[in-house]
Amino acid sequence: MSANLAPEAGMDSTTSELPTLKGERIWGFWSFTSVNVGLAIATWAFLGGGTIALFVGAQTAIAATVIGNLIGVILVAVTTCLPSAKYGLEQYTALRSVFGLVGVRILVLVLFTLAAAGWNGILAIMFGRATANIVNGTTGAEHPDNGVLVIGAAILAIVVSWILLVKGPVSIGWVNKIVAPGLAIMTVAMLVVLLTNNSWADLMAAEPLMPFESADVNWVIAIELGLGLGFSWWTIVGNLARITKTQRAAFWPNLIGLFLASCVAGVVGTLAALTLGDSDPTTWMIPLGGVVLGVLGLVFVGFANLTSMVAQTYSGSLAIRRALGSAGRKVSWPVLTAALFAPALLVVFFPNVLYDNFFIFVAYVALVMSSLCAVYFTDYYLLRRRTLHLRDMYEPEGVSRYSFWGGVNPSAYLAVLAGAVTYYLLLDPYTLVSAPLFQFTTASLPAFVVTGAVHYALTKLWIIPAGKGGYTDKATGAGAATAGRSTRVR
Amino acid sequence: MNDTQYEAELERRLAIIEDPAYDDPARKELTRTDWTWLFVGSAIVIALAFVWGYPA
Repeated sequence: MSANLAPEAGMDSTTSELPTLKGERIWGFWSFTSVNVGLAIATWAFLGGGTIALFVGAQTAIAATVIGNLIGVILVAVTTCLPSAKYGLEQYTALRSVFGLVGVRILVLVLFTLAAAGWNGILAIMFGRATANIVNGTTGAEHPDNGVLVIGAAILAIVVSWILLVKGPVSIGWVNKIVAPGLAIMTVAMLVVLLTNNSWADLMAAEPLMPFESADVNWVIAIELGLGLGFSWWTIVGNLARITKTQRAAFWPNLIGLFLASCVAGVVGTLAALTLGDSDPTTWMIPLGGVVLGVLGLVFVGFANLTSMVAQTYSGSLAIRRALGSAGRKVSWPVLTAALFAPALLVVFFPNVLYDNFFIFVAYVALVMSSLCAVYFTDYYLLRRRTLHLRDMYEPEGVSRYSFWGGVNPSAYLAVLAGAVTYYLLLDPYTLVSAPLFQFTTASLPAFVVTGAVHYALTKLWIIPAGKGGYTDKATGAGAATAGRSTRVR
Repeated sequence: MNDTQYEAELERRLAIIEDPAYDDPARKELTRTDWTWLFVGSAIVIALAFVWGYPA
């Protein structure tokens, strides 16, 4: 997310919804790969790996991590990166063709508010737990996992992140250049320590921490968590891809960064959790590295979490500002960013709810993101045959070919709802109670298929006959005729 | 950027992009080779991971 750290929105297409010009495309294959690796090696990768260790042992975890992440990352990259790169389109501007002008605004407001609450809350609690472990490790105190120190430090992390963001996100851009390589070094160091202190056979024989009775269910839940972590990139990666030079440069680096690097960090997390018997990364550092190196590692984890919170909220704030258009540009930056940080302040008062149940959060992410990914995939590849009309993305409702009813495409929303219900019927994200079919299908993949099928059918049977959405040339309407003369809405 | 500046900048960009002479390499789709590598490669990786990691 460091890649998005740039000055306030100006004439630069990278910080607004303006389409990107050829000369502004600055990332080739290797530069986008490095951005991807930097994104992937983050503290949440350790948390994800530790979570998978709850259900399966090392060998199964490695395989499930690979399968889940690979499928999730491919679907996300194909769906978001290729159209954004092809047209230089900001992802949520492109999504107007799917959800409608008002529909995408609703989506952005709801999605980024919830995502900021969830991810910022989790990262802040990890900061708090790291602080408590530092104090415990250096003073011999025994501050509890969900005690006052953890909550206080988590609140401090949110306030400091907000101040950093208000003062100027550019100032921490250089910090990310230290944090990403530092986390990569820490990942390798942890792997070396784990392999030095434990034989390969011991690692492979380590028992999962909290499995269900059925090995098949544990296996598929591990794959499902991998899918959820892969799908979680849906919110941001398309916007990064729009400044790549070619569609190849936009696509393949995701498999090196978001897939491969994530898998490495996740597997290190899994091995650490299995050998130390705890899925919380903040409890691993001192046992693995001793007090001095362990405390240094915890300080680094806390620092990395701060920068992730700033970068993530910066991206979210910009997305909301873009989505709200003219109205969004009138909201002051401190107020906008404070509004996005605020929900996390509630989350940190209950550290055990989200942080200790990270798998619940990932399952909900999968429930939402698999359906969002599917509806975009179906719309762009199957219904629009990879063709978007750039000017119409910016025309007012009623003029643009991407007009629906009141700016909302009901087909897209109904399809997402159908996908979410499908997911829920196969796997309850809160309890992880699953239907018998789940162990053969996962929940995300059927949700993806159902969402796509519903959107395709509703569009063919209802939206196109009604002349909405610009799916056929006949429905183009006034968009092309009035191009350049209408008053735009953004 | 106020609304007027934004409108002018958007129009400038759209005019450049819609010019028939505008050639952006990013418009070139992935090739059949890319898709083949993707499908075959990912199928092999998934199959190997499944065979190796499926709990016996």
